[in-house]
Amino acid sequence: MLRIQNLHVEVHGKPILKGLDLTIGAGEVHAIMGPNGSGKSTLSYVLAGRDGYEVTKGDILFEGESLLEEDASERAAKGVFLAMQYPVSIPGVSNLQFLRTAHGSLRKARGEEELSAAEFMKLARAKAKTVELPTELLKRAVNDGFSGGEKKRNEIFQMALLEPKLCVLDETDSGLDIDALKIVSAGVNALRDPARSMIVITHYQRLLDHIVPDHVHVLMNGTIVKSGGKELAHELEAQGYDEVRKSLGGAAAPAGA
Amino acid sequence: MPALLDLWRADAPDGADALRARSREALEGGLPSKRVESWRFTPVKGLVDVSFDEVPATVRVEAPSGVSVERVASHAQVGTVAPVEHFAGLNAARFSEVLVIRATGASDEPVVITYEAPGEGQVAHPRVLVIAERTSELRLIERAAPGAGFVNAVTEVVLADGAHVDHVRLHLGLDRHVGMLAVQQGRDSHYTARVFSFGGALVRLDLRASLQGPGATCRAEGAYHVTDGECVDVHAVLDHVGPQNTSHQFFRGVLDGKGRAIFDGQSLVKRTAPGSEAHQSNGNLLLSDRATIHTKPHLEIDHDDVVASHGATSGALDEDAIFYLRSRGIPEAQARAMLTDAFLRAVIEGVRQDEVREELDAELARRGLSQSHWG
Repeated sequence: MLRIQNLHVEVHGKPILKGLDLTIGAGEVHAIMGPNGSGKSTLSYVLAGRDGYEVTKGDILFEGESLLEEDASERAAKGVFLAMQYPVSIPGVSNLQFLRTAHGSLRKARGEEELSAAEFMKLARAKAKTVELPTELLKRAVNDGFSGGEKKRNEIFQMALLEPKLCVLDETDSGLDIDALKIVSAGVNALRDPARSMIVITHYQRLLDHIVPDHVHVLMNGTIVKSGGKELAHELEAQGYDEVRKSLGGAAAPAGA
Repeated sequence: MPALLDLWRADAPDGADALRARSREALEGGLPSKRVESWRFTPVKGLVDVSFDEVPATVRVEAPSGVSVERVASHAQVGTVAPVEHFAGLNAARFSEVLVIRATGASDEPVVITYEAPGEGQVAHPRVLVIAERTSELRLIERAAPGAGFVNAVTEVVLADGAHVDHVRLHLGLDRHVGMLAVQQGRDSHYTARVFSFGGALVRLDLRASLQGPGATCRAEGAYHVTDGECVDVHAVLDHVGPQNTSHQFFRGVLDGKGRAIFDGQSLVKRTAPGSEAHQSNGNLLLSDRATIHTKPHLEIDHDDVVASHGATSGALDEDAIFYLRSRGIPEAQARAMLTDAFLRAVIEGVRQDEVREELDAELARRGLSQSHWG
C-alpha cells in the first residue's frame, strides 16, 4: 500500500528526515516511536502533503504511484488521512458543514455522487456513535471549545466518516486521560480492516497496549534505526530511548551532534 | 452641473427653515477634506471635487400594519439627533421631504426602506426619521439599492423609554454612499444596528448613538468586504451620557486586492455615566498584501466605575486551518473561501430575517466568498 524510499525532507532549509525507508502492506498497523525532535510529526505532515515540507530526495509511493506531485486535498481523495496531534478550531464553520463539504469533495474527486443532506446526516450520526461523540458536537463549530478528548474523538470520527485507505495517527494519545484513550482506541480498532493500513505515531508505549501494532519502528534523527514486532515497544518503554541511542553508537546521534 | 458644495447656496426646498439655517452656517466651513481628522483616510476628493446634478430622493417603504408612515416637508424632531456638519449638513440643507416612521406597538414584520439609486453624475439626499414610542418593538431594514449615483442619506432614530429597535442596514453593490445614522436612546431601550457594506468606490457610514438611559443597551455590529478600487469607511461614536448604559461595537472586515477600509470606533463615557459598560472589537482579514486597513478603536472614559474593553486585529487566514480543511479533501480555493466566509459569519448569524441572510449569502457568493453552495 505504502512504500517510502530514501526520503529526505527539509523544513526551512533544515534537514529533518534523512533517508527514511518504510514499507506498509494492506491491512497492517505500524507504530512509529521516537523521542521528541526525531522527525515523527514531519513524517506525518509530509505524508499528508502539508506545504513547507520539501522533499529533497527519495519518493513516497502510494498504491504504486508517487504522491509527491499531489497536494493535500488530492492525497485525501486518494485515501490518505492524518489524525492531527493538535486539531485546530475553526469558529464559524460547523462540524457538519465542514464534513459534508469534505465528504462531498472526496466523492466528487472519485467521480461518485454526493450524498443528500438526509443521507449524510444519517451516516454522520451512525459514525459519531462509534466514538461516543455527542451529536450536539456535530452542530458546533469545528473543534471550537472542544475538550482535548473531544478533539481527538472528533479526529477519529472524521476518519470513520471519510473511510481512508491509509490512516496516519500523529500522537493521538497526547492530552488524553485513560478513559478517553480507551474510547479513541476502540474507535481506531473498529476501523482496522484488511484493506486499510495505519501508521500510529507515538512517544509512549501505552497507546500500543490499546492499538496493538503488527510492526514497531524506532525513528531517531530522521531515519528508522530499529524495527521489530510489538514487543519492541515494551523494550523501549523499559530501557528508554537513550539505551537505543547508545547501542547504535554514532548512527543515531541527535541532529547537530 | 454644480460642484457639490455649491448646492446649498441654491434655494432650499420648503420647510425646516431653522434646520436649514443651522446647516448653512455649518457649511460655511466647507465639506470635509483630508485635513479634517475624521476624514483623514477617506478618499473624499472623489465626492467633493466632482460636479453633480441634484435629484429628489426616491425612497420606497413597506411597513406592516401598526407602524405609521408619513411623508412630510418637515418635522419638529428632524435635526434633533443628527449633527448638521459636513455631508449631514448638506443633507439638512437640501432634503426635499422627510419620511417619518412611527412605531407604537410591536411587530415581527420588518419595515423595509429602500433608497433608489440616482443615475451616474446625480446626487440625492434621502432623509428618514424613525420614532419608536414607549415600549414599542420595531424591526427595520434599510437598504440602498445598487447604482452609480451618489446617495447622501441621513437617518435619525429616537427610542423612547423601553423601546426596542432591531435595525439592519445594507450597502450592497453601491458606488458612492455617505450615510449618517444618528440614534438617541431613552431609559431601558435596546438598539441593535447591523451594517453590511460589501464593495463600493466609497461607502461611508457615520453611526452616532447617544445613550441617555439609564439602562439603555446599544449594539453596533457590522461586516465589510472590499477589493480593487473599493473603500468602505465606518465611523462609530457611542456616547454614554446617562448611568448604567451598555454598548458593544463588533465589526469584522475582509480586504482583498487593493481594497481599503477604515474603521474608527469611539466609545465615550461621560462623568454623568457611572456603572456603564463599553466594549469594542474590530477584526480584519487581509487576503492580499496590497490591501489597506486603518483601524482605530478608542475609549474616552471620564468615570472610574466603568467596565470597558477594546481591541483590533488584522491578519491573514490561518494556515493551520487551511491545511486542516485541505487534508480532509477540500480543495485549497474552497478552503480559503470557507474560512473567509466563516470570519464574517459571526456578524451575519445575528441577523434575524432569513431573507436578509440569504441576500447576504448571495452577495458574498457573487463576490466569490460564499459557503451557500455547500448545501
